[in-house]
Amino acid sequence: MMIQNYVDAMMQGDYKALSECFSEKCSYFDYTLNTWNMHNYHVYGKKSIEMFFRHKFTFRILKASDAVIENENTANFFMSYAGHSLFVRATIEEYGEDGKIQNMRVRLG
Amino acid sequence: MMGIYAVTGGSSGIGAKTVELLKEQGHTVYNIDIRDADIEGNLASEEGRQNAIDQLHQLCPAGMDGLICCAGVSDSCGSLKLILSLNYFGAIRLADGCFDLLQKKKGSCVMVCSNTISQGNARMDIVALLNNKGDEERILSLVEDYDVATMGHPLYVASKYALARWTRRVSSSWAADGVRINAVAPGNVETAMTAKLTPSQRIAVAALPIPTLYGEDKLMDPVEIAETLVFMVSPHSRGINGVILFCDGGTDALLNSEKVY
Repeated sequence: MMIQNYVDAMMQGDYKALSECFSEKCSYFDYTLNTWNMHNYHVYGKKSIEMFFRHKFTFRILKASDAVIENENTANFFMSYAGHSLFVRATIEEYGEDGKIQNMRVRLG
Repeated sequence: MMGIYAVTGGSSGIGAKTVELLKEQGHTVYNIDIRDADIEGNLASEEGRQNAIDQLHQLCPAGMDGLICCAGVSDSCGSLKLILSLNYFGAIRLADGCFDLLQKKKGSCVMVCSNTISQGNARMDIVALLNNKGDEERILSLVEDYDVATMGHPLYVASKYALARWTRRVSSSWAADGVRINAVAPGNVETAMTAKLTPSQRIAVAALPIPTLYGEDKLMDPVEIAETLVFMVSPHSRGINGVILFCDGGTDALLNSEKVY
């Protein structure tokens, strides 16, 4: 399941594997950061996802832990944003023609 | 029409490329640097700044078309005082001191800051002191006992952030008096220093991706920044004033897409 691939990549901090979960034209929105007065993430495109998460993982700004797969499109886990932990739910809202993630949204769990 | 320009920090890196490009265009260019320069002096000291200002007034009695302030040190220079006195005070004092020369020819000024200003690591209390208090001696005294190992980067970013904000603050009145002023915020550039990075340091540098160089595992060429500086100081950018222009291949847009304004 693609959601499993996503979770594995997030847990391992593997930005290349993470980007491989996504279609070329895709979007990744994380709406949770507004809850503590930070800008949400809006990332467009597979290559941008690779570059964006390379930064976040290398500098340990993002760290996922304790993931639970809820169904084939959804997983919940703890996400640490620069040391600030939130319980979040990541949902694949749309797939591309290649079977990879076209639109993913992360919200508070 | 050929112009007269002054570039600080023109003996190496981005500054040297900027001097080169301006000269290729046929302009007269005065390089101000601590060594190997047309005007030699230490812009971290009041003496050095005044000497440079005085010499420019002697060399350019009819005025200057542009001033580009590239002189600066990185956070690894080992001196917190030098970071603030050169990166911030050196730049603004020189610009202020040359304002009248720029005004004579309706010239423009470009400050070189850094794209690190948008990455949230600046000591904003120091930024506020730099911009709002501006007492160099007392601020340098304040940071004297800070730990250089941990404070080098936050103070470097603070110096560049304060420089960018100073630029925006003065831009309206300067422009109303005929002188444009802007800042350029470069990303990671290949320099003599970055060429000596260890593999682990290189990983950290590469973790600030440069979209225009995606997949190329290299940093920006100094000439990419120099070309932007030359444009921003030229009449071709006459509609641009008070802007902090990120010249980083898109790193800032990648990491801060929501910060439109």
